[in-house]
Amino acid sequence: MTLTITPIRTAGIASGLALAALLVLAFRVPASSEMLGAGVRFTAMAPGEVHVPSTDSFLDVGELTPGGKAARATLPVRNVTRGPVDVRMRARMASHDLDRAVRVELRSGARMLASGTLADLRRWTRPVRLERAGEQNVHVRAWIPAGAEDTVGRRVSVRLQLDAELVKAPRR
Amino acid sequence: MTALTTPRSRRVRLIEPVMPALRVLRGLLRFLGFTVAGFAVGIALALAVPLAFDARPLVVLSGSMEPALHTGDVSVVRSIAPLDARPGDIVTFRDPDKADRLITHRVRAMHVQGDAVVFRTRGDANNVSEHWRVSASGEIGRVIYSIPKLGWVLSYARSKGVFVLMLGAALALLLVLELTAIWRPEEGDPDEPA
Repeated sequence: MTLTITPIRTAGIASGLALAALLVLAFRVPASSEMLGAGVRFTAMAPGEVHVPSTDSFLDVGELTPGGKAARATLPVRNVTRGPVDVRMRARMASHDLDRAVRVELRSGARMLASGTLADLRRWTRPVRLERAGEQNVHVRAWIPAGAEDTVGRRVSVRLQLDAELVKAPRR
Repeated sequence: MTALTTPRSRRVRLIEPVMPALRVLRGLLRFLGFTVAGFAVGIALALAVPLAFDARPLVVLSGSMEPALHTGDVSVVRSIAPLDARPGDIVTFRDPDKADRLITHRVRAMHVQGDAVVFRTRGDANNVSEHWRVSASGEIGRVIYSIPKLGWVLSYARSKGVFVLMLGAALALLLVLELTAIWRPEEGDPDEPA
């Protein structure tokens, strides 16, 4: 009896178990491999003296990771006054979540306007001069240096406030 | 004194030469019976083992996640920290409008806000998303696998009559398998003449 029943029993139960395992494998729901980084969104708020092309965001990135690739964008700023203006910028944001983690660099041509953390950008940048009817591109670069912690899934919306000051003509 | 039953050796002599196919059929049926039993044990394990690993089975009650999950499927959901979820995962969470109800939908977007994780989820078959938040130190469920249609069986089994019927059927199956094994003519029976 042992010789005939045991193999049938063993084979039957093993087949049933294998079928159940196959069913579970077939209906497995794998975890998503999508990356979740930090998000930064920049919008520009310009005063009447200068013009920026859109009030919508000019930089919107959601996958910044520590040590990962930097996000870049360009904001063209045009002088709409009858004289030269000095334009400076600062960040306005409600959240402090990424203040220390995100590094930002603002350049205009070869001139560095600001470089530091997002928190540092809350202070006014160095000015960039726009001649009458002139236009300058402000290049923005944002990244998270390696080793930064607690950045996963965090998001910050930055309003880049522009301030324009008319340059007084020198006295003769 | 005459024996009331046919001697075992004689039964063997009568059956085996006349119906050899019967043995094959009987073996096949027995194999199928054990396969069904093994399958049932496997499914039971697939539902029970996750309980030891912070997971639990839930019956899908609506078609909002079709075609990924159908009504009547059982989804096995593992507890995870909200920050371990990713867009694309199917997660189970408390209905923001009705705390005693659980919803299983796919994560469309998520971000961290202070100490909370804000989710935007939507059923694959739905056209409206829901927004909800959970503490970052809290927990939600992630569907790791599903077993199709088993929820119907479990729902029926909840009614007492059906449960008794299913239990009876399982016991009857076992009884039949064991009895056929016991009554099966043995090879090399000592009563059998050489």
